Amino acid sequence: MKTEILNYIKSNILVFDGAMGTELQKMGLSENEPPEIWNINKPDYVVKIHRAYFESGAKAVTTNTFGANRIKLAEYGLVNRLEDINAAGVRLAREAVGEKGFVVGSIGPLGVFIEPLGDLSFDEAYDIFYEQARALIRAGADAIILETMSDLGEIRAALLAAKDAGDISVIASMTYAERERTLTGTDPETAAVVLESLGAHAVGVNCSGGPKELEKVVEILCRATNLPVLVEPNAGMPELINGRTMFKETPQSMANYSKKFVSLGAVMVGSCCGSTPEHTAAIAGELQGLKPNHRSRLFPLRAAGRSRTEKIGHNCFPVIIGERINPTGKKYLADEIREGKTKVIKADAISKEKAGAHLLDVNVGVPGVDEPALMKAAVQAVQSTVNAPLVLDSSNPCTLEAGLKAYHGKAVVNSVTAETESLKKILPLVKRYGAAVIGLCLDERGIPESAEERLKAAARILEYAQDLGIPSKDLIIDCLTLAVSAEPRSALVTLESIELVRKILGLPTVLGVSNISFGLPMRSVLNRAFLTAALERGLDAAIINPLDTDMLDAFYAGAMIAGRDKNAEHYVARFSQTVNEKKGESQVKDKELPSDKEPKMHPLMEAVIRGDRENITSLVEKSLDEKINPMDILDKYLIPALEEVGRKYEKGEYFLPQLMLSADAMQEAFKRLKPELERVEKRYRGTVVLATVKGDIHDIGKNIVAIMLKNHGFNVVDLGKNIPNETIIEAAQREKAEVIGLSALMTTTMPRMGEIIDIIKKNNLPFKVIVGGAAVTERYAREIGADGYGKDAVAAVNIVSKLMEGKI
Amino acid sequence: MFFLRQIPIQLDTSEIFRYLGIKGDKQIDPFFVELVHRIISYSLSYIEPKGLYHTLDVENISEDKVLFKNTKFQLKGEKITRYMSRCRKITFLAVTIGEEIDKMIEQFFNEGKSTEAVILDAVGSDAVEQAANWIDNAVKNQAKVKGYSTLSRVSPGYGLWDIEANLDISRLLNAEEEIGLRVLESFQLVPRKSVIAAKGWVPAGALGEKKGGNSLENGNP
Repeated sequence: MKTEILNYIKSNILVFDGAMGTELQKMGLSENEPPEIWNINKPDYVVKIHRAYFESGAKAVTTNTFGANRIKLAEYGLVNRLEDINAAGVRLAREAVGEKGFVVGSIGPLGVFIEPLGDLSFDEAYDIFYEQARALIRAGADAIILETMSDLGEIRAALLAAKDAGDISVIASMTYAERERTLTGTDPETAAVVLESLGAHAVGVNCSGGPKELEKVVEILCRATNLPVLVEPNAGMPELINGRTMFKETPQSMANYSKKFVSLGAVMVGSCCGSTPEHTAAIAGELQGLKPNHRSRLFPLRAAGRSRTEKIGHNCFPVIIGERINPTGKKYLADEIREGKTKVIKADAISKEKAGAHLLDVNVGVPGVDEPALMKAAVQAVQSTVNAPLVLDSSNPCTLEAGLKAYHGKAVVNSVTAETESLKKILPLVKRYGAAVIGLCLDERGIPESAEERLKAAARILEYAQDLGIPSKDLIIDCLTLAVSAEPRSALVTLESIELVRKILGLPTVLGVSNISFGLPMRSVLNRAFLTAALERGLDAAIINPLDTDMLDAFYAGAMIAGRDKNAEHYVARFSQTVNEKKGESQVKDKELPSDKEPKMHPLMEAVIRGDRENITSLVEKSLDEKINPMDILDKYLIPALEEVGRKYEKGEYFLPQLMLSADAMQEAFKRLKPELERVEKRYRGTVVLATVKGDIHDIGKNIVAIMLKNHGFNVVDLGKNIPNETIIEAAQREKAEVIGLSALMTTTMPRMGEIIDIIKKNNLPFKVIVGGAAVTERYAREIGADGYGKDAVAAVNIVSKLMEGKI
Repeated sequence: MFFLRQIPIQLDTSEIFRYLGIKGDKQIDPFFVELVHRIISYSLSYIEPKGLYHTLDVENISEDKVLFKNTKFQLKGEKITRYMSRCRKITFLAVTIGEEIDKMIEQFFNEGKSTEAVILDAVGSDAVEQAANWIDNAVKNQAKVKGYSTLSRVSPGYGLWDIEANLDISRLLNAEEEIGLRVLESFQLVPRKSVIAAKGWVPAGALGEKKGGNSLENGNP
């Protein structure tokens, strides 16, 4: 492999060049031509820029090939020149620096989003990057830099492609926006973890902002990896002045920052947009004589989602891996995925993450389905919904590869065994896609009976992994659990194995605990006891159902007892929340219970006011059992309660959801009361025909009004949305309505209300009209001749009541 | 043209409360906070934020019209033209969170769960807003590295701009075919939780903005 650059930075700070694009613009590059075509059309200019940087002190120059990929060149009809443009880019840089400098082949983003964000597949992106990288390597580049990348998914494809295209060092540099996140939400630590595990030789940050904006990113990158770190800030933020893009950071200010970057740990320092050879000269001058600040931190196993990293190891708080998300466990789930929908799997992931899972296990294994396709769909769905890193659960290499390609992070593969076939099939995938892996203590003979034999199986996996170049920190061992009912010592063997693996191999351990209780009653009791014992022996990750709160409680208690929870931070965080919730509950209850001093409210009134949908039916039944007249239930309790809710809403004490909750409770009460009321007395408060007018599909306001009117005893005929004028009039005539209620959201549909009122007046029809909707005002209602304007649902009920009583 | 098949969004609970009319200074009953959170969790799997955007170079601006290079598409209307008068480029965008939420809101109403319906409606409003904000932010960043500042996003039908423009923009972006966003005769959008908007680019110095910046869309560092 070409390692000259890597060798150089072992004992030297490497100064990179500055901007190419803005320098070309100064020489006349127009907005309508790709900078890379100058490699062919105006090579002297390109050489001149490279030489200026080199002579200013840049030991490494980047080729003018940032956008020389198939997608971007196609915009200019230049795809057939791809090889030439890239080769020329390398040749011109070499011409400028000779053998005294490094030629670094530049590869920029494709300018389109890749799956699941956009349309381009991982494989397509990989092929496009491979094509460009191969051209650069063939032409003799000393290294490749992937720069200005803002999507972790895209840079993963680019990195794999560049490494496959030739034996060459690859620097992977991303660009960050506000709050040290890339456009797609990745933080520098996650980027470092993912890129390092995929085999980047160096990581970095470029473009983004001026040097000040990059300080924190550099600091985090240097803390998160021992790899060499590159930094290339813009010369401040650009401003377009008199048609020209200007950058205002001075060479000296850039140089001052570059010294700071080196002190933070960066070993490659250059500059990006807007910088000039003057900036490079100042940077090179400032850094002269400085030596690299090497780091040798020890890291635990790290798994990463697109925007979150989780650590697993002896010095970390143990983690919970949410038991398998399995979209194929039930037929309708598999059908859903096949139809391209992922509702259920997303919901499952969300609930598990919310319940406290740090990582989520995804499994798609059932016979007769296209497992790789399902895994890809499942991974894409889950990673777009939750941040927790994923554990890809399959023994099928094709399925795992589909998941690993689709995943924009560092996954944990679940799992490899100590069987030769498994080791040979699974570990190369783990290595290639930069994953971590769970090693099961099981070999060709099955699950070993003794702890010592299980340790041997684990050691075999470790040895095989290390031979392939997988670092031991990416391996976690599952010592396996057998049913204690079948073999009384099995739990102890597992516990001993955990301890041995930890002490002898120094590896973290993971365990699915529920097998222990198989065949026994009260399984959860045994599972909890086993989990706490395992934690005490040093377990680092537990595969459990996070929705089982008792199990989670045991987990936090066990971690605390095992001495893994410094200052009881996690324990207190979990249980203080529970205590608060309990306190909150009791406060709510206290609030709800009428005090002795206050006059007691009837439970039915209270239920409506509180919106107690669950209990109101039984309260109505209780009142009926007590022989309270159904009409009295309505008139003395329910309606006054509803009026009280309306008053609270008008006073701003209640908000829309509370209003609706009371309305829902009232509807439940009505449902139960209706047959009784019909037996006692038919009461008629009037009929209202409601509709959202033609052309308008926004009907939530009208729906709320309908419910409120029904609750107040009106006969409501709800025609729905997008209803033609004639249909509304016909319905009012047919239903012998007293009032028509019209709703419209937009100025384009509001005129329909006036048209309907005109028809009513013209034909002397006996209907009163009330109008409402987001853009409707009282003045507008008056202008079109409406009889009332309902600014909200409560107002609408009041107006309809008055209209019915003839008071308006 | 940029397509986004799954826009990553984070819902903003305080915005959802605002949509529900609950003001920030009010003590919120823990029961409602819990209910809103429950509905957010429930709805997340039904929200499918998709979008697309396209940036056009301004060729000429008259009193009531903006013409663009290499397209017959025009931005029409006096107020919106005045608003965009200093722009060199304008990005047009369309986003939707899909029809599932509309169906669920309707279903909740039909089941007598109007509380859930109104909360879900607010969740949907925030979700589509967040999706539009995501694109807004991406455009802002693209503009910044090219030396532009951006104006606040504007949508047809909100005072500055006639709602009829929804149709022109959806055609420009081929939004119906690409993300299933239809424009009705009344120029309303289906699915209901959808946004069509424009964002103008003006030279950075012109607005006196300085901070920020990140990804380079087409530029060569």
